[in-house]
Amino acid sequence: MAFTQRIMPRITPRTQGFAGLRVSPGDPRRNIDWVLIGGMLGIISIGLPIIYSTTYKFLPSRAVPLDPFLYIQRQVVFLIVGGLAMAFVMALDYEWWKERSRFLYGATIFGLLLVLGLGRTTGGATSAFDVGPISVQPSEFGKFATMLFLATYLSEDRAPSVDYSKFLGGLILVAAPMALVVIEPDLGSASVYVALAMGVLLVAGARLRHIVMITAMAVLTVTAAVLAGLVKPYQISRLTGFLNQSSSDKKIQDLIQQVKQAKRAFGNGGLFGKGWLDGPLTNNRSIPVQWADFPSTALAEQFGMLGVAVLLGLYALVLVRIWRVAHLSKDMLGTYICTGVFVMLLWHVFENIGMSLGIMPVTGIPLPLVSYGGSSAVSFMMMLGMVENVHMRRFR
Amino acid sequence: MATDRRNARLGALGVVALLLFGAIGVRVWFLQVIDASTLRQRVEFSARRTITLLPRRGRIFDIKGRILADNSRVLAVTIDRSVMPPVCADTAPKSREKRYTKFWNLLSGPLNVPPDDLEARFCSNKYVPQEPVPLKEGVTEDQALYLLERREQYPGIDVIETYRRQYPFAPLASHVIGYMGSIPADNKATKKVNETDVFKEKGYLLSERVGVAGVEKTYEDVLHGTAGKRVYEVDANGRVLRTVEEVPPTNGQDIQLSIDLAFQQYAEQTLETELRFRRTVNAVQSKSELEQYGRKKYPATAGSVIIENYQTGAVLAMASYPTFDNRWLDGSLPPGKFAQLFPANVPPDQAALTNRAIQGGYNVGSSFKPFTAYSALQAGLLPGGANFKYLDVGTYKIIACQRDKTRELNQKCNFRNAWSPSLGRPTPYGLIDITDALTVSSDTFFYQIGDAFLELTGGQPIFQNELRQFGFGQKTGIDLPFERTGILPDKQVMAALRKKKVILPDETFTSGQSILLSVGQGLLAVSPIQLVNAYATLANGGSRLQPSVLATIYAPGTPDSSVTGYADLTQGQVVFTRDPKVIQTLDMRPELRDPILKGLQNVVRKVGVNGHMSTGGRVFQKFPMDRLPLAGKTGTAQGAGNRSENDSSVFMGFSTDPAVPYVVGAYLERAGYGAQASAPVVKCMFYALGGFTKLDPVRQADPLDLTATVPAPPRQMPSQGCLDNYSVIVSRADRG
Repeated sequence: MAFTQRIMPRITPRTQGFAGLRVSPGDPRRNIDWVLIGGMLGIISIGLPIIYSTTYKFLPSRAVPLDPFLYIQRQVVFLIVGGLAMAFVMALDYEWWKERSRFLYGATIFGLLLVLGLGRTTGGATSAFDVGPISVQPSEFGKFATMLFLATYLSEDRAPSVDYSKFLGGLILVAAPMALVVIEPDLGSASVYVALAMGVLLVAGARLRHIVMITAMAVLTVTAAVLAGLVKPYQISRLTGFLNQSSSDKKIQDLIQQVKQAKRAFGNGGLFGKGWLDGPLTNNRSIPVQWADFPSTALAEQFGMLGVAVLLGLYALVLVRIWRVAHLSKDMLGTYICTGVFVMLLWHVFENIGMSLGIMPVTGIPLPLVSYGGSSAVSFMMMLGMVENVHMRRFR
Repeated sequence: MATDRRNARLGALGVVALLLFGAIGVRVWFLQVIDASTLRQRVEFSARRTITLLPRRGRIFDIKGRILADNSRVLAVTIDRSVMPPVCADTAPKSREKRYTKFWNLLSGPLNVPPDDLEARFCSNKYVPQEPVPLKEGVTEDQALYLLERREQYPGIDVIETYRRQYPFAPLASHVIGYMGSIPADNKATKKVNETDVFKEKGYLLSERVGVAGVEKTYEDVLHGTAGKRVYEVDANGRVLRTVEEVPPTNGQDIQLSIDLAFQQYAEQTLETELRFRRTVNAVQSKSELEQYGRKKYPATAGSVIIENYQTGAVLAMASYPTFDNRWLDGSLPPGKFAQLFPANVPPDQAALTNRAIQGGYNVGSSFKPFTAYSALQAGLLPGGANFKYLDVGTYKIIACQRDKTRELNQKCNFRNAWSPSLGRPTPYGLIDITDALTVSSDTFFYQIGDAFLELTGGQPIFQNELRQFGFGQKTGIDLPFERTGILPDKQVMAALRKKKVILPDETFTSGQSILLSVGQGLLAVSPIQLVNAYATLANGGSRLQPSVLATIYAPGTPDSSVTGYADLTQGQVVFTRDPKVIQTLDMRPELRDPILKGLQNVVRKVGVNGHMSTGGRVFQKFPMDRLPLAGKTGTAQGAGNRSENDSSVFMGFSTDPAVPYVVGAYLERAGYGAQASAPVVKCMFYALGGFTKLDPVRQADPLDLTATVPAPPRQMPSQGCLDNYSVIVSRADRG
């Protein structure tokens, strides 16, 4: 109790608002968590130079003098779109969003079904649509929608802990998009759904045996997918490669080589790094899809452990602020939303950096707000917008 | 309490987060501090790749700076062979084949090329294994970007800049400019010099296109330039990391031709217009011919016109019909189209790609007589030279037959002049000298010269030696490929022909052959450029020049002018200027040249000889000779079966005004008498050269009509007044 009390903000009544307007202290606009936004902007400001360093040499061909800023320009556009989406999410009460969560969830399922039929296959997985010059990944937005719908579903009755049927419902709710993502197959994104279900159901009061059940379910799903032939051999080899890092199998060795290069990038960086645009492994593009899958290696090589520590610190700051909002929320819906965002952000950071460090298997899930990619950036900014939304409206 | 449990559970979550962050932190610490030195290895990727940097081909201008051949920049998608293991060999494992079939399918969409074609290109042995293989030329920037952004999906794919040859004024001067083609594959059995190896030694890529016709071929070395190279460092996916070394290519030099496209256009239009008109005209047939074959029109299928400056040898215009649009030959025709446009099995007179002006080998009829005349005068064959008089009675019996009556049984003894319908017998021209003989084109006069040469010189090839000075039987050395050598028959030549079984085993160089040679018939084969150049030698007073279409060579990069379609030659840096090249100087003392010149001047003026009109007098009667004095000679080459519709029309003319130093020659195959078909064409050229006719502006070509079924669209001259076709009444006496 005392703990909660301490971090509750002091409410100092003020009658004079901005531009002399009379604004109540509970007005949502006066309760934006600027620290959270600051932390987010800090992460973005580390991400952009990292993307540039991994892509500026990427496109120039012998003939077409392509713009070295092409990727970075696009990323800035994505971030602007994300900022607008975030503002839009913040502008409307999360109760309003709650009303629409069912629809958003339905749209997600539809989108995931559609992508299986019409999507573009990249690196073995059918996970994106080509919309003009950009490609959209429904599974990224699916994370947001599923989180929102799960929170809505669990908060419908105000029971202190979920009963078994409620738990099962929540599980099915998450399992549906997850199954579709597994079929794509995108095991990385599927793991995010597992983490989401675990975290939110834990906070919602699930028993330990429920959690065990989720784990079992996840293992079963993956096994079933492997047996059904949905999971491509390369994905299995990613896993086996992770488990057996001294294998002599040719395919696995390629994979081990990737991780070895990633680890080497960390080693190269040392404490203070090689300096921006001076990372030899980054400049030589030794690490595949570094701008999307392994941005942390570029950071580590160029800015060293110091840079990694700053980024991790910023993530920690953002996580702490989300965690705080989860406490402050006036209702369980807000708590569940914040928990969902917290868990997903945490899992993305851990999995992405973990795979670069060789402590997690290689998957394609991005490093939030750092990796190149529009869908992920917009999705995460919408999630943070939802957390802000809960923070802004905690008094009503 | 709910809040309690919530806090407790959130706390648990926080602990999990701390653990995960802790794990990362420890691992980062371990990698970056503890284990850093072992991980930190020298990063060295020594994969290098050398790319040939192709030079930009030189451009071709006309004398006024019109850009006849240009380059447009195109993007080509290439694939690096080393990224893909060899999949072309039949031994390739099935699974691998399947994998690459998928890859080709994936590429097929963005490139809009069938997968099989892509694979065929990839496997073609035309391309050097180390060099990237071009899969498709002429992709758009969007297509290029699409592929480059998805390099992960398309390993080894790159986009390079290449050039495509363009002919802005096509189809004008297509025969002269020529076209590009693949480096010819060698037939090792027949060729001693391996052409592929020659190109390889010069640093060409076998995938390059080279000039295969026209000046594109002749000046290939000038236009091509020298390839450079760039050495790259590449990563495992074949992507370029950095440039290690770069030797820039030396671009090809620009060349300026002596061709003036305005005259070229006019010549092409006039030639085609006249040929089309001649097809509507009934052949001048004799009664017996009419009875035997019926009424015939002239086929008039082919012809050529040349305008050569007789002081420099520079060719101002060179037209050949049928012609073609050289843009068809840029190598991008859909399959089957080429066979439709240029069918393989057409009669030779319909082959569009042949440049008849240099590749035709013809009897030239009476237009050969000035050289017979020169030979006779130079050799002192005629007693009294130019004053020698001969009584032309219309027929000639060869000396051998006069001596030995029995010979008449086994050889042709009597040769005749052209038939006079009014007299009902070969035209008798009466007492004539050499000038008169040329004016009215008396055959008999020249028969006796041809006969006398063989009789009096005792079989020595003195006649041929005289003729050889004018370049007959030899290449003129014009800077265009595939020039015809021609045939100047003598004992040796006929022996060679017998060996090749071109002629019968018992044919030798007899009086009959010598007589036929004297009037440009028989086994003689002359190309139009040879004849024009021989007239130029006569016109300039004895300098046999090497004809040429090149004027100047400029350093690479002559800028464009502000006028569309022109280069700014004043900004060009001259590397080489062609000077007139005299191959041989002939003895042209006035007593040798003047009687001939006088005869040729009379041909185009209304001059009568013993009541007979000069052969060209009527055609040129309206031509302003006072402003541009001309000389010329008609010729009618008899064709197959001596049938009238097979008469080919020749006319050679030149101006005697040194301010307009041009020879114009026209040869219209199977189009009638010299005065009928070719003389009007030559006359029109002189109207233009004299500035009496306004030439049409030359416009850049419209885009190629891909639905066309003929190699060049039909053309017409705008004003046909100078042709005078419709008013000229021609009698058989004008045949000479």
